[in-house]
Amino acid sequence: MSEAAGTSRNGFDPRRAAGLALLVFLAWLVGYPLLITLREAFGLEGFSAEFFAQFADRGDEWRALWRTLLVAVCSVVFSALVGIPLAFLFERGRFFGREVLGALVALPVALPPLVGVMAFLFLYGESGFVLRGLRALGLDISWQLQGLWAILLVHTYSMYVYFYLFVRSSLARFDDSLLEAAASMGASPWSRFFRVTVPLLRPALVSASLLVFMTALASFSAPYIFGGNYRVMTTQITASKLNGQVEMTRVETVALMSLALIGLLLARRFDQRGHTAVAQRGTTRRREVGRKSVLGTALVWCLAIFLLLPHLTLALLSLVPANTWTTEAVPPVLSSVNYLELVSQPERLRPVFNSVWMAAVATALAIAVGLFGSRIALLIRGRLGQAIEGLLALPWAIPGTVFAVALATMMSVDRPWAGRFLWVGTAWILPVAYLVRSLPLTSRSAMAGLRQIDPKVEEAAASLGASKWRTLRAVVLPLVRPSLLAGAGLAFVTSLGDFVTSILLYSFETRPISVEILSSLRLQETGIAAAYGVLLMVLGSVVFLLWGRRTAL
Amino acid sequence: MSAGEAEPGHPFLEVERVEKSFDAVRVLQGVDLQVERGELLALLGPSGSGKSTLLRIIAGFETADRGSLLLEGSSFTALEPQVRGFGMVFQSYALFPHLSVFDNVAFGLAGLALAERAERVESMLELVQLSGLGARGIDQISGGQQQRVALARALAPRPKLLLLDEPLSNLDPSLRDQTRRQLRSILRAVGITSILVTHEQEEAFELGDRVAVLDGGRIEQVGTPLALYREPETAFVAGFVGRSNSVATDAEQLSTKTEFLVRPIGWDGQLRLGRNAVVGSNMCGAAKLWVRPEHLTLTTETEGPAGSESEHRPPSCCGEVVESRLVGPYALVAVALSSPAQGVLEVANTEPLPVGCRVRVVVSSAESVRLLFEVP
Repeated sequence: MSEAAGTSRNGFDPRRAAGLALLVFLAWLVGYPLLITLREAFGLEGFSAEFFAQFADRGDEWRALWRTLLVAVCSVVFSALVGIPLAFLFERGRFFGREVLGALVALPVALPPLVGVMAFLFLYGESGFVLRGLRALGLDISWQLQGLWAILLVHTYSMYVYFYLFVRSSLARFDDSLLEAAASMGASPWSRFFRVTVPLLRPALVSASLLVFMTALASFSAPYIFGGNYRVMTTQITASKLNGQVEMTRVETVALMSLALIGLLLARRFDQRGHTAVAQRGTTRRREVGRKSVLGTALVWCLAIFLLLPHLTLALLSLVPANTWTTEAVPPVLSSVNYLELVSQPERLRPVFNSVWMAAVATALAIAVGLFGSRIALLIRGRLGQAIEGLLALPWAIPGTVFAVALATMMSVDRPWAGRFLWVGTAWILPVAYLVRSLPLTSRSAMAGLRQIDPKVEEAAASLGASKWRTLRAVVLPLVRPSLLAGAGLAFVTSLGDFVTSILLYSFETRPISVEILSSLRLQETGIAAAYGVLLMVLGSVVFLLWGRRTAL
Repeated sequence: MSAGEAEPGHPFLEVERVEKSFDAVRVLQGVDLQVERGELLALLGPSGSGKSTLLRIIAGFETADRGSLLLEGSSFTALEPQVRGFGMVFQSYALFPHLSVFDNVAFGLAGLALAERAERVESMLELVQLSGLGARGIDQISGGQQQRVALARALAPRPKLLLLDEPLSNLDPSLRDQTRRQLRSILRAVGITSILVTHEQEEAFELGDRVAVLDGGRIEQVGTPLALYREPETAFVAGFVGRSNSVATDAEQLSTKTEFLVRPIGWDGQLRLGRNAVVGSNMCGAAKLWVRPEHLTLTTETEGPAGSESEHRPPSCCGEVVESRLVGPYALVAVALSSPAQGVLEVANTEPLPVGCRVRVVVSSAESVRLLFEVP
């Protein structure tokens, strides 16, 4: 440890004091809302399991729980089936344009959930491009994009990326001499694949499965738009909340929170047994299969276009003025009128303004808390350090719906002495929610950046007479900056496009872009909705292509 | 008596009874050390001997559990590292990766005016022969150049004391010799008081005016390289500094009290040693004779010298060559001694000998052997 000189000699350690203060703050911000919700699920006064009994009696609650699990598990399976072959194809295959396509293929993850769902609606929905095209060809068919399969379609589309990125990065570091060693010992290609490749990819597969499972468990936009009567826990909670069933909302929230935590604990157990064997020395030789063929190239490009169709659909629809497109297969008029309206009308611009300032404030605070927390946690280590690290990472495992309900519960009464304030309905509540949801992103990237700094570099600064403050400013911050910016970029984009917490916490004055998209859709203003969507999509893609992949890998 | 005590003032740097434990491991067990103004002291020891910890305590990156540190008589034990005014060269160099060569060297010159700062940086770069590389990034220069940037950066603020933590160990062996000579001439030119930590004897001997040998958190011996080589005071120093053979020996003090009669166990012949070649607190009991390879000679006459004359002959013993390798100007021949003597000795010979060859090992000179009584 590069410690010692900072510890004062009379037992009072300023770092521990700062760590304790931060722990209290994080416990209040992250843990307290969840605890209050758990407590109040047993009734406001006293202690009664009455609402849990009601919950257990209702068939629709059990159905929603079961469907949530089903959706999560199926999402993992389908995402794996799409993402793993793609990873092999892009890491080992040979075709023209692999570099460009390799980045494009990861783009769906940068699409804010609601925007992706909207794009699917316009593309494959009952009045989407695909059906219109088929009808224009003279086919008389119709379908509804609804229920389990619709949800799984959207989930697979956006979540296969985790399998693709994790497996691909694992393959890139894979030492092919292991396969050659296995072959030299007489292993057949099949046995090499199952006995060498698969075990070595295991950590990547486990991480990706866990990530998809947790994301699908918490998914809200897809079930909300496409679910119809197919309720999962997130939509069930939102419905109860909007119907004013306060007690039932809390019980349902506790149920989903327990599901997420159980999933997390099981996965952690699974995760511990894993090891990577990467190339130790020398260069990894890339084993490429087959030749660069025109057919293969064409296939991959078709795939890429299929993956980019939702983006293209949104871009096209954002150029369609209201009420100009009725029955034609392709929109007859294209103009930039939607964008002009968005920019020129204060009421249209307001959600953009709201989202930008709330996301900016939340991201700035998340950077500050994440960086400070990671630094303190790394300096003091021990139980206190672990507790801080754990609280910073916890919101990752808590579905957005759960946290939004918890925050609304905590901030719906004015009891400053109990750490509760009447923030529901104020401009405070959304930035706070965004902040908590951003903490895992900023603290993880700050932690990664700080771990890469050689502690000797800080000692060198001290030996050159630099004060602690100057060392932090002139050495530590510049070295963490690239990594921290990546996390901050993702946090900003996620907050900007947030729907799941916003829908439960917004007020009319503070409505963010996503809520405005939803109301535009309800008012049949598809062009405006698409224009908002394009705005979020472009921002998300830019941030993702600039920084995102570095932290994702 | 050392020169420091004769003068009225204090030694430049004093380390007094410094102790340090990490968890339950005692890394330093009461270390005393004095460094004179302008000298370069090398701290030599195997890994885990505590030498780096001692250096880090002097630098201020670790706090001693007990003991004190004084600079020209005043204590700096409680000072933070950034106000001690010591320069440090790290094993990994610890250059700031986001700054240019120039900005690295200028980092410690925050208090100077811009023009003066630029001038100082240029003169430092010139000193380490890196003029014109100021604008380069750290990843654009070689390992040897990085090492010199680290030195220039540490020297730039004109520190009172320079601390060097294994400064050459990250270099290729081919580069190390050259860089070592360069380092020596730079440090001599600047005339700065320095402490160098190393586990390589060659480095300590070439760079150090004096060398302090550490083992197990204790200072075993401090002295000039020559004194350490010729007059080791402990078995550890005799074995660690240079090559040496130890031979179990009977020894008795003669009635004159100034001489010892030494008979290696199982050998022929004996040796008279003066009082100054003998080290030990109690001067009796089990003892070891330490002989360097170059002070042994090999003869092919395997027959021992006859009868009564053996009393006056130097100690010798028969053996068989088990290994033989050329190491530059001479060959090192390993000889397994025949019973009743025990062990394998390394002997410097002008040429390698075939394995299996029968030889006689003779202690050729009584001048350069040491007799060490073991601590009971």
